[in-house]
Amino acid sequence: MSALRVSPVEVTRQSAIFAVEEMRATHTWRTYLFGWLLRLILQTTFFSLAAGYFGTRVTKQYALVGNAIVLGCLESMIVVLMMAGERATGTLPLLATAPTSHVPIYLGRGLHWMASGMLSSTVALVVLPPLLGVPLPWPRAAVALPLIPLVCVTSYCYGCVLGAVGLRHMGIIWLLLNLGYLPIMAFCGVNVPVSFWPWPLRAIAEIMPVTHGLMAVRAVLAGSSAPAVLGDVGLEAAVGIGWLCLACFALSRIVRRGIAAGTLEFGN
Amino acid sequence: MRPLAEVGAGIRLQSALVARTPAQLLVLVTAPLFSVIFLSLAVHGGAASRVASAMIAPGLMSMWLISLDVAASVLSEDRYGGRLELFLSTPASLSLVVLGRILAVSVVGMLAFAESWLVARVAFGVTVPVHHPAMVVLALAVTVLASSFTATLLASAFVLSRSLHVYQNAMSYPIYILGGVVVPLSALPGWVDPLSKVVYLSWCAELLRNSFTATRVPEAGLDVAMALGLGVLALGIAVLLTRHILDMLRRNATAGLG
Repeated sequence: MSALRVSPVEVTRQSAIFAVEEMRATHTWRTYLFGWLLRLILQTTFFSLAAGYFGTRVTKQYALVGNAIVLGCLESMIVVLMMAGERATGTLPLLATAPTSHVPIYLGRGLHWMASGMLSSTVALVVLPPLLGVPLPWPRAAVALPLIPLVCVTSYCYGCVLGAVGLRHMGIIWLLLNLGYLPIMAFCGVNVPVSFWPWPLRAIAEIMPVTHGLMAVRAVLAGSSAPAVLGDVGLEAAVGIGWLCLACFALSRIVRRGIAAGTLEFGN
Repeated sequence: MRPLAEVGAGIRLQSALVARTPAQLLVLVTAPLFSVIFLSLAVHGGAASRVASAMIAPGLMSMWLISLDVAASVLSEDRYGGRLELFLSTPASLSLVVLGRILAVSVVGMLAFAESWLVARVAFGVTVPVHHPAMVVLALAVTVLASSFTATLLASAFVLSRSLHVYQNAMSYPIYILGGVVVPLSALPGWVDPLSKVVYLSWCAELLRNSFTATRVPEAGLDVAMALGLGVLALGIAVLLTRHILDMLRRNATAGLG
């Protein structure tokens, strides 16, 4: 059997190839730039304008930064739909008997959207502030850009947990996606500070993706010390690792239970 | 009476479908969360006088989302499911049946306004007074009709598209901005104004906002006339476009090639 075992590097390579091809099948560069990316940029614009209307220039910039970063979260979470799509093609029983685990295959199904999320967040954060009259403090703001991939990866891990739930309940994947990211937009410091909410919501926000990563971004923009920024970075990474462990457990459990119950071929 | 019967048939069909697949009413789940976002911005920003805008925005967004969602799915799914050929053999107006189907969902979608009002009251302790109840009812009715008329046009426009979900996705936030669903047009740059005038949602948003907040509703007649006028224009184009598309499908024998 050992000769048949596939290395994690090969699985990752195949996942990356698959991700690129799937993105090419979904979008042309025109539909991507003028359909998808423009829509996301306008989403950030919309919420920033709303924040400016209800508040001040400061709240407008606050919401702009939050909504630019949360684009990466939103796109990374499309893995929920991708995982459900993979199961709908009927590959899960085949993967269960393959010489590699199904877990990395499923975990890799939305990588292209995570990459797209990194691009969208970066473009929104660089392009929109001057256009909306709330420029960022460059060149210091450049230090915040490497934090975007961290937020995207953490959100992706969280999305994988929801995706695992979606594998068992295929009829509610859109509900899972929307109820997955909208609470993040509402309660995780995207539009108003986390401190605005009562303590139970604040406690939940602590273990959600985006919360600490966004705090790190805001700390960089505010010129905070490196230890303060790194503290938030560490917390965001810890949250991501926690969600990743949960995702691996949930995906393994689905196959174990599916084999035991003889329902591996069925999404529900 | 036949047009009404055709619209009625569409309403009955869609009601039965929604009862089996309530996922079409996903906006009723997401609207309260959008309410939370806008109301938190208003309360945190200390804009007590603008809470009404925060409250009506999720309702208006829901109406547009439902329109886009149903428009993108209704005819395309019929074509994919092989039902479009059956329509071609009936004397009924496909546009009016589609209008009925969209109306059925849009009317239920109005619950998003009630949800938003409840979120304001229960979660934020904010009561938005209704200064002109009759005007609010009229504004909601106009919004539902104009949304459904416009969605009927979109359904026709989407039916032949190979990238309809790209268009569907791309048409949400631009219309929210141009429609002034949160930020009134008066607070946006002047160059947005001419573009907004042709978006029915901008007239509906203005009418609804004034119905909640203004001591008297200025230019209510103009708002109603423009929203309905744009909607009726869209419906007229939808009827012509659908007729053209069906003729084309008949000529090319491609009705079933979804």
